[in-house]
Amino acid sequence: MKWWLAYKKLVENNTFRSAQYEMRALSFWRDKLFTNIILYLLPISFLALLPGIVMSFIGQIPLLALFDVMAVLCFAFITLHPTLSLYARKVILVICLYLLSIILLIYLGSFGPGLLYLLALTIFISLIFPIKFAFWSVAGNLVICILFSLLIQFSLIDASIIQHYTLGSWIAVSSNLVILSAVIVASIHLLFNGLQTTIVKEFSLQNQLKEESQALERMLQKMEAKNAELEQFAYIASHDLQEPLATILSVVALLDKQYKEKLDVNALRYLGFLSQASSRMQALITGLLEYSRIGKETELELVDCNQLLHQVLTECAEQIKENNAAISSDFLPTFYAYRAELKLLFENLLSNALKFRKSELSPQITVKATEEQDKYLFLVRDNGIGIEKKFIQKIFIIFQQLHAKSKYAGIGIGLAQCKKIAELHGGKIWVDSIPKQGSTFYFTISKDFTSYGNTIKANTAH
Amino acid sequence: MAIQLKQILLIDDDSITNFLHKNVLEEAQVAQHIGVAETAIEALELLECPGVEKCNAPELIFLDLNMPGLTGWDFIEEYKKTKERYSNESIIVVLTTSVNPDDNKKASQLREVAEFRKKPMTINMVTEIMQKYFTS
Repeated sequence: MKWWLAYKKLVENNTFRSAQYEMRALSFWRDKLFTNIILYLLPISFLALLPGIVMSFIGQIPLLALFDVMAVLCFAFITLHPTLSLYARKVILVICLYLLSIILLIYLGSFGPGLLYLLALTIFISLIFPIKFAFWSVAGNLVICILFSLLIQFSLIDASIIQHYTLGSWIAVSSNLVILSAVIVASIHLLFNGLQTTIVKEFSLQNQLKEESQALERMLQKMEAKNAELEQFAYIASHDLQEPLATILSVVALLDKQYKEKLDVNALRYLGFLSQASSRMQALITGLLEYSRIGKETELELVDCNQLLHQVLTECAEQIKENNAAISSDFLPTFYAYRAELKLLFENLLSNALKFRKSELSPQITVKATEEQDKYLFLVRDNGIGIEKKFIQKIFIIFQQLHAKSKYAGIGIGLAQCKKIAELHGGKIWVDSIPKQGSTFYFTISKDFTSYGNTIKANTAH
Repeated sequence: MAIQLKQILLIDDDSITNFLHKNVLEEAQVAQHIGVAETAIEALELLECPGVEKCNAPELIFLDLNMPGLTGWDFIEEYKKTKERYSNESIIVVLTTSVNPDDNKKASQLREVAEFRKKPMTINMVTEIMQKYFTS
């Protein structure tokens, strides 16, 4: 076994040594086939050599024995020679086999495998060479058969074939060979053409796929870099920008505390402005940071929305009581989601419904959910001041507000957060509103997403 | 100061900014009256002429762009629609915090916008604007 592997490696090194294949098209398989043929040819011909020699001496044709030996030597040469080109190996093998078949024809006639060899050679050539050589081989067969006709007709040599055939029977037999070889070559030609087309097509498809996936990969890298940049930005916002701001606020507080008696009304007013503006900036920066962190470092978990809403209502109990609000809710679904984010979504929608109430009417808020084929649809309805149509697109943009700061507190981040959270769950958020009558906020949670949650859960469990 | 305008209108959602700008205008002594609006709606209400067919608009308006509800751009749209009702045309100076090139471009394409300036307002800025638009 070890010897065989070493021999195989040697032969493959000899034949494939310098070959370059862009794709595994026909040329590759031709050479591969040839390599395989010569790989087995040498040991098998060695085995066949002894009976061949014995038989040729029994049949009193020593020339045949000599040729057998030469043929085997020739096989050994093309199999083992280290630097011979692949093409030369093929040509030598084919010539050698032609000579063998002619000699066999001459000496053994129809008892020998001569004609069979010619047919096999044609097939062999059409397998290992480009197809035009195979047509030449058919022509070669024809020429050989004609030459033998002449030999037979004019009894030019004293050999077994002359005794076996008359001109007529030879033509009958050999014409079969020529026609058969022509048919086989044409069939192989057709088959190989089809295969070649398929291989080339597949190769170009593969190439295209490769290019596309490379482009995708590049895009992904770009996105990752951008994401990292954003995270860096969020960090700067959280730390580097907050620090000087905190200093300003402390100094203002210190001034207010230590110099309250010494400062006049105007100075105190300016201090108030300073503190007001810095506090607002702090709130904006914190809001920006929280917004950028939505969906980061959180894991999907099974969330019972009834329980979640209950929790939110408990936490806003004071606000609800102050506003004398009535909140009703239906039975809500349970699914995989980002719990903290979903809670923030409910908090923001509810606190908006309380905040933008009509002064003369106690807030009535309804929370409902319906299950659809591919998503859960939630609604939060209020009887508040409503939103004018022209502002509806604006409300989901970060830091966009519709009312003067003095009228309603806040920095304009709640609904932007809601939008990001709905999108994080593969959903959308929108609003239907009639000014002075109330608004209904809708948002969806995609079921793809919640079932995707299940698969994530399953994967991380391993 | 040679010329004094009858009325200047400040439109900005930030009350501190309005206070500071009003201070600058008072120090420059360029107007008899300085109106302040914290939203575009408030400003449009100030510009109405109740009971009369034609009235005087403020000669000079300083306008912030980024405001809750109607923006500065919305204000200009609304102002355009009601322009005929004033006996004079206001000089509108857009005053904004961020110098966004897109905003600048948009402002330059609007006939109604005379100037595009960066906050905060200064005495020099006011003097320049007064000389440019109100000397003759």
